[in-house]
Amino acid sequence: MNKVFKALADPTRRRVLELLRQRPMSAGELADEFAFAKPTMSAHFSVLKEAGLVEAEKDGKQVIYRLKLSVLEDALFGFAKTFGMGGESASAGETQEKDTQS
Amino acid sequence: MTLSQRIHGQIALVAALVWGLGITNWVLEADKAGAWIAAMGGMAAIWIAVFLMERGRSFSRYTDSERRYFRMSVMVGGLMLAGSLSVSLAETLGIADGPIVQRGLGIGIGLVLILIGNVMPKVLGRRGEGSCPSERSESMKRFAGWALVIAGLVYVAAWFVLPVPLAGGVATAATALALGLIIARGAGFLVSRRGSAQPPVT
Repeated sequence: MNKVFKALADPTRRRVLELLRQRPMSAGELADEFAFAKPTMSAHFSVLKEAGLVEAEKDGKQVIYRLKLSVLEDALFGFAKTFGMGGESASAGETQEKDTQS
Repeated sequence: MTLSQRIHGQIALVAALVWGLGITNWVLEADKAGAWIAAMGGMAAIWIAVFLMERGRSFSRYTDSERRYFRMSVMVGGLMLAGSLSVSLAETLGIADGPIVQRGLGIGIGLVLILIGNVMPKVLGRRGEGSCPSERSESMKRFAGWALVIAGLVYVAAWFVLPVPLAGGVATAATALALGLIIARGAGFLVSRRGSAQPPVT
């Protein structure tokens, strides 16, 4: 559950989940929606995968991400979205840190 | 032993338990024959549904998580029937007291509904390619999961706070409403899919 909270605490990852709620998307399509570097997005995808909130499936050269939320996780996601869990500044800091590392 | 034989073997064990308890109840309380037939028929319906699902898609084509969920749902369904019949038998034999046992069983069934609904959208994989647009099946799974969880919460709350004669009705109505909504939405999807599959009129 800790991993789920960690994954949902970041606004970028929540935005990824929101996009996946509309339809399954490839890693490239998802990355195009954000201004971050590819390694940063990769790190976000890894956190989501590790928390079991998304599943990745290889389709030729593409990796397709698909939402995989239980009802409880869905409710937590809605809660985090409504109350802005984690906050913009925390996410920006984390992203900046990851960009520096990569 | 094949996967299919293993699954049907497990269902046969639960079915034997349900039918054994049903027949024992029937012998001891013949005037409630309708209830015992309904319980035994429910188990038969579960088994028939499993056969039909297997004809639609072989068990070996299920993902591991789907198979686990499927098995768990069938077993829990059968054990819920066995639990209800055991409680009735215990009451008939004077081992258990009515209302407290009934409340306990009601709360237990509600918790099972919550558990099944909660994991449903997560563990059920995609159906066969081309069977249904993916976003629609995802949305259907989410809807079904939420409907079952809410029905389960109402079920638990009803058995927890309402008087026993009223609790059963409210809990059953909530479950029936949830199942009705799931079936209606599923039917809506099927109808719209058939409509969109028709060739355009030129």
